[in-house]
Amino acid sequence: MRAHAGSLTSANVRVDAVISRLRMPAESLAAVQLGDLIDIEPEVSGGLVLQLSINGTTVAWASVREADGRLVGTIIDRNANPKLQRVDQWKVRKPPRPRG
Amino acid sequence: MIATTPRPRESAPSEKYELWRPTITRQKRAALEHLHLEVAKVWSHSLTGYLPKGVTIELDKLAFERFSATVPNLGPKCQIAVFSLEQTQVNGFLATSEALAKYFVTSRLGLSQPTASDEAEWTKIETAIARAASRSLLGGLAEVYAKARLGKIGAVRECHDLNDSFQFDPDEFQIVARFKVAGDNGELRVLAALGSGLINLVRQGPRPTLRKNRNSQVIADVGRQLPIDVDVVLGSWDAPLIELTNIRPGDQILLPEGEDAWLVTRGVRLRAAKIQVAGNRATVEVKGRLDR
Repeated sequence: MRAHAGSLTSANVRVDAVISRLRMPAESLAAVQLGDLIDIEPEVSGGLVLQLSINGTTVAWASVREADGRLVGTIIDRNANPKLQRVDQWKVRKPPRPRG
Repeated sequence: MIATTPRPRESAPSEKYELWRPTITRQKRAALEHLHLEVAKVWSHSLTGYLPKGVTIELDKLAFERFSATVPNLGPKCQIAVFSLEQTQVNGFLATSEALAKYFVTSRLGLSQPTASDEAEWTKIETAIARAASRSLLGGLAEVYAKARLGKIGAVRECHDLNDSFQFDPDEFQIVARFKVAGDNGELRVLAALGSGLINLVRQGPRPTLRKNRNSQVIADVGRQLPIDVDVVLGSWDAPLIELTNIRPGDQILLPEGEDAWLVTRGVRLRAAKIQVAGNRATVEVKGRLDR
């Protein structure tokens, strides 16, 4: 049994770093085009919350900050915390057209 | 009480029961009709150079006949092309009546009336025009059949007498589509006949068309507004399970830079993206479709 447990815990899993979750009407999502910019802002104050996710299941939450030009996440919770399960605000901008 | 005497029944003329006559369902018949209506439409578009302005070709009749009864008497200058549907056992022919071939020639040459040399031999140019028109018709038929996934038309041979083609059994049943120039009830005719094997190749009925009514508009409007949860993913990496189980609040992780990010909904990646985080905000630049 121990050998099995050891092999399980040493197994690799793919972790996705989800920086934001948006809720978009199907029409708006379909209209998103190459080069479009989507501005994201948290609905509540406190900054963006990153989710570490495995196959769509969140296993931890982290705050995000920039340090020396790199993005660093600091784990803030590991359990399912309804307060952290939020949807961010978004706005699609079209890129400025080159003049001439 | 009124006494009635039974009337003698009017009997319909009896027909010989044809044991080998293939059966065709209503759906398949509708599919065949739809298919040949499409052929007429394609011909009307592709043969504009051979038809006077505004004149179209239309499907006159779709029938199921023995080859011996079908063999058309379309005049000595009729154009006949015998062909096969490749990788099937289905043979067929396309016959343009002499009158229609003449009609194509006069239209192509810009003449309003049939030429005086109607009974005379055709010139080389007239023959070439009639053949080109016949090939255009065959091309249109091939286009529609290929689109309907019936197969590719091949092994084309041009001949003047179908009986000389030795390709059809006199008792063979054929699907015969008769076309005419719209508004004409005379001899301006095209006939496409194919072996009954075509029935099995026709897979579906006419393509359903969405009827636009108020309800479907309401459904479409609702569909457009359906909320979809989209995850914006900075990137991903492989990590040992034990590392994740030991993770604690306060631990720090160096995150992907967001250069190769993506948008995903319910596990389906939608678009590649580039993400820039600045303070409490992030900007996602949509880069395009993902290479899967």
